[in-house]
Amino acid sequence: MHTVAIWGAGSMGRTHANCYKQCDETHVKYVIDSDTEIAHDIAALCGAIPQAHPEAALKDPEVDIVDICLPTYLHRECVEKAAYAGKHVFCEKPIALSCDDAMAMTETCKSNNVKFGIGHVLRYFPEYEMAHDMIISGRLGKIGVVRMSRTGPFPRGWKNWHSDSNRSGSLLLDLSIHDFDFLAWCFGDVERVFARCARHDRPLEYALAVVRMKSGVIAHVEGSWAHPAQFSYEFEVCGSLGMIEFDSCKTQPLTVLAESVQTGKPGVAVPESPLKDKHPYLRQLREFLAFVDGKITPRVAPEDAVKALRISLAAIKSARTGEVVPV
Amino acid sequence: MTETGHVREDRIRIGIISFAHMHAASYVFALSQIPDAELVGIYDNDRERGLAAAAMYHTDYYHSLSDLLDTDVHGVIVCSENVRHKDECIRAAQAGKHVLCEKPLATTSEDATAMLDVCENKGVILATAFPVRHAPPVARAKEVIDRGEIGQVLAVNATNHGRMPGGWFIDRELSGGGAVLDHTVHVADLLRWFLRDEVKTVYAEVDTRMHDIDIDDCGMLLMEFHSGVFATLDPSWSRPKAYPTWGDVTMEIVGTKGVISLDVFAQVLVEANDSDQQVLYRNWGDNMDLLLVNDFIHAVREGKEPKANGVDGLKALEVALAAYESATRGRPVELGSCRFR
Repeated sequence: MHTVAIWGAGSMGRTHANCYKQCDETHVKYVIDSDTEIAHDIAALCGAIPQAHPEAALKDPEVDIVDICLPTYLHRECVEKAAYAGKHVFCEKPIALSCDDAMAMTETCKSNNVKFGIGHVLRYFPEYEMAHDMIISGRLGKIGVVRMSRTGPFPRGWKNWHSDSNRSGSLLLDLSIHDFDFLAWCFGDVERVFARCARHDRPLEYALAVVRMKSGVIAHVEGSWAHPAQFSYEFEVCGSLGMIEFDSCKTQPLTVLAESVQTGKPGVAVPESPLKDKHPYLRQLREFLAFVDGKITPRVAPEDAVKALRISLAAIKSARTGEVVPV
Repeated sequence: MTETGHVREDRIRIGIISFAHMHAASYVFALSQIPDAELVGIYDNDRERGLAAAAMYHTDYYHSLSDLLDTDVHGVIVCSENVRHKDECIRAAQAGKHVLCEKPLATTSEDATAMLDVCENKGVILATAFPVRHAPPVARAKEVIDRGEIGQVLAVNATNHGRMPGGWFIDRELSGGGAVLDHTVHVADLLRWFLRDEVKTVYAEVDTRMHDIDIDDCGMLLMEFHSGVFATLDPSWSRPKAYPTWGDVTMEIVGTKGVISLDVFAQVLVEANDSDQQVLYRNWGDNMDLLLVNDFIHAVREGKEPKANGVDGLKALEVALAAYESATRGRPVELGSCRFR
């Protein structure tokens, strides 16, 4: 039996709350957020107690897991608080804004003898998992070129924290880290990065990175908070025997186009890709619970999260200095 | 380029130099579709290949380049192996013939500059075969950019993928370079045209990873323009033979007020046919080679500049050459200043 406190009631907190409802013998007891209104909303979803402050949850011996769904700049402080309280910690990606922070958090969890999981959920998306497995199997032969892309509108988070690079780490850290993690998962270490980033006060941010893996694989990563329409993600992996390509916009099994209830006018088409057992967030949290139970080693170790962060930071440095940055 | 004056004759007579490049067949078809153009004959340094082409298209084969250039052709289309472009183009220009040259214009800046010089001195047109400029979706994208509909362009994410072509394309002595040379020039040309700006620096990763060949088959470029706009390009020969089409030209053009997603060859039917054992894309869009040749014929008739001239060919070539240099040096390379600006 697990008792969870979700710390941070934004969109990720909501997603996790919904997933825990589907996990056996797991109960969300607290939803913590300084914004009590949204804490109430999400607590109501899963029968939890809303809290403005973490103290009650951290002191509650019944709570064994704290799930951090806060903006990145708060990760270190809150993960360490939970670890000191003896709670296992699951933390949303990116692990932190600096490698020093990330390694300190990892150390604190180790020394307090609590498990530490990081939400690099992309590894649980079945399309990415399948691509990974095909690459590893050798089915595509020797890989030459890999293209990763993640594009969408500028995120509208709590107090617009994404637009403050001191809090979010910027696009290359917050968004492209998914794709950097995937590259590291499939191809190992990175040799060097060359990147450029554009910003505008619309607001928008757009980055392109050329990544050379130590294995020789040439990768391209596109990250965008400049696309006005829906969020989309794509990849392409080309090898000596074959290639695979994926475009989230072309693989939606369901699109709902309904009249607006209020106006009677045609609404916006909303595409969906429903998943049950393969729901990535659910699988991610189930794996973390099994990790806490000592049944498995998770597919994302804190060291992996640090590795991905290091690539993001190298890309950011390259975009800032105009230099090629070794990783 | 000096004004060449109007050509008053009914038909513009064209000779083709070499069938080394597969586009030659497409240009012959284009000539057959243009009422005021006429294919006069073919010269090919590979006699067998030239004779076969002449027989297939019911035209004359000329046993030497001088024989072809001694005729009253108005212009020639050069489709030889890349390293031969220079000599054939210069000889044609010296004979007073206008030239449409397959891309890349040459394999070194010096060669391309020599071609430009002779064509300028002789007052003949030098056009570079950049057919993609002529594709209506591309022209429309330029119009959208020019109207400011996506605001100020900030960055471009481009691809020009293809299959590994084999043949002389992978023989450095004849092609001068692999995938990076073959495919960089198209997109470099489009970017220069769209942005009305020149590439300032190029960074590139270049390698041979997917085919057992002695020339580059993959790469990735990041170009920066003088305005600060940056663009990446994937020029790789990464399409397997089993892929439904030869390749692509795509661009994600990101502006301050919007984004253009351009997929130049998206106008297709998807055909699944047991006789092919493969799914194939069948293009129903405009024939851009026809539009390209038509533009050249029009330029010759009217004595006007073609849509993409020799300078455009040189500028695009310099980007590709800088990519190779960057990959060798492991850092971004600044493009040399060029007197044809």
